[in-house]
Amino acid sequence: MRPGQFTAALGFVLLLFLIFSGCAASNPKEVYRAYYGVEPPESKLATLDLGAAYELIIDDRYYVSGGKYGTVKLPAGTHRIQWAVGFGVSVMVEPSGYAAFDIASEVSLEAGHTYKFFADRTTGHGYKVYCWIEDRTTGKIVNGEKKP
Amino acid sequence: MTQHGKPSKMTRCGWILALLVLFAGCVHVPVSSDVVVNDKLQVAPPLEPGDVLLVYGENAAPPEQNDAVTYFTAGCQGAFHRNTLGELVKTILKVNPQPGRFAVRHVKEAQKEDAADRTETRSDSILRRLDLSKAVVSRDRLRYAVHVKETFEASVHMPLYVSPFGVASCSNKTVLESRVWDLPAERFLGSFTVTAEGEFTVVAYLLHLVVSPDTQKDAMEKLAWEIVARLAGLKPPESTGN
Repeated sequence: MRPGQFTAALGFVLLLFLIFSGCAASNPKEVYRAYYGVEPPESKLATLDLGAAYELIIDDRYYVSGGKYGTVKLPAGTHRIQWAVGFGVSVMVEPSGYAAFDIASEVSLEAGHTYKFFADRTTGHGYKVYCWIEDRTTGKIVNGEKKP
Repeated sequence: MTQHGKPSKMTRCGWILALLVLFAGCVHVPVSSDVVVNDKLQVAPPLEPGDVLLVYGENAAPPEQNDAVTYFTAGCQGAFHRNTLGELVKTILKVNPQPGRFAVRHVKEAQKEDAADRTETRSDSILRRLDLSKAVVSRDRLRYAVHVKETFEASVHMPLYVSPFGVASCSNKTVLESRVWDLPAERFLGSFTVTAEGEFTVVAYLLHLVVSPDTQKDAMEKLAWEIVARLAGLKPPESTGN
């Protein structure tokens, strides 16, 4: 191999390494504890897995960013959860190339159960968005409509 | 043994093209706005655990701009957020150092205040405007109502950008005027106004250097900080990491 070719190949490998090194490191997310005052026993807590939601507001009191937290622990019972999802979409459909949706859900959570937020959509003009919350412990949809 | 001559014309062109591609594009340099708070608020008793703060008001209308101005200013008036009030509610919750201590409710369906309402300090209209009764205020522990009116101004200073070269500059100014009411006492507590100003500048010679103060965000964050400090009696952290 000629020195020039070797330098070019080395440069190419370094460039690839730089490009992929940004994606290689995993970023473990923290657990948000959505209760105030005395910590309830673990047996009285439900768990939320943010899944497709990039942010939550729980009972108008707790703001949870999906960038930092992946899971929320909160007391079982009925909660008002505002959650937001976003999709990258064709610029032919949305000029910004991005569409975000806010959903407000009144959900009854059971202790010891884990709930996950999902979102999906159809494609093309007039696309329909489906947002739902699934009880991962029982497999039931507790809020919203699952994409058929 | 390999003989090396001078690089060919094509090789030189290739390197120049590679460098141009490498350095073309856009670098954003975020800078802070100049923020001023005009405080005319009385001392307010801090929110108790379980209390609710209501936020309502009006987002600014987007600045009018035609396509020519957008082009020759590299879109420097275009950095506009349409939901400052929604972001304010989230930011109050974010900067609250004791999450869960109080709730913040965004009242979207409140009657729009006219100019007379804004200058009026009589208390008898606040519950009517928010469509609330004394019983509801007491039952839901509604403590304070904050009316926020946002205004946004952008003026072009230098529209000398023709892609991909040139210089463009616009000033951005956001004013958040907030008026605070004590709901159980039906009493006007005063107002405070946050003003954020900054100069949005683009310098481009293939590589675009964009100096972009986000006056709306800076004003909104300062207002959230002030609300938590003044109405909840808590010291918010300087950074909003959540």
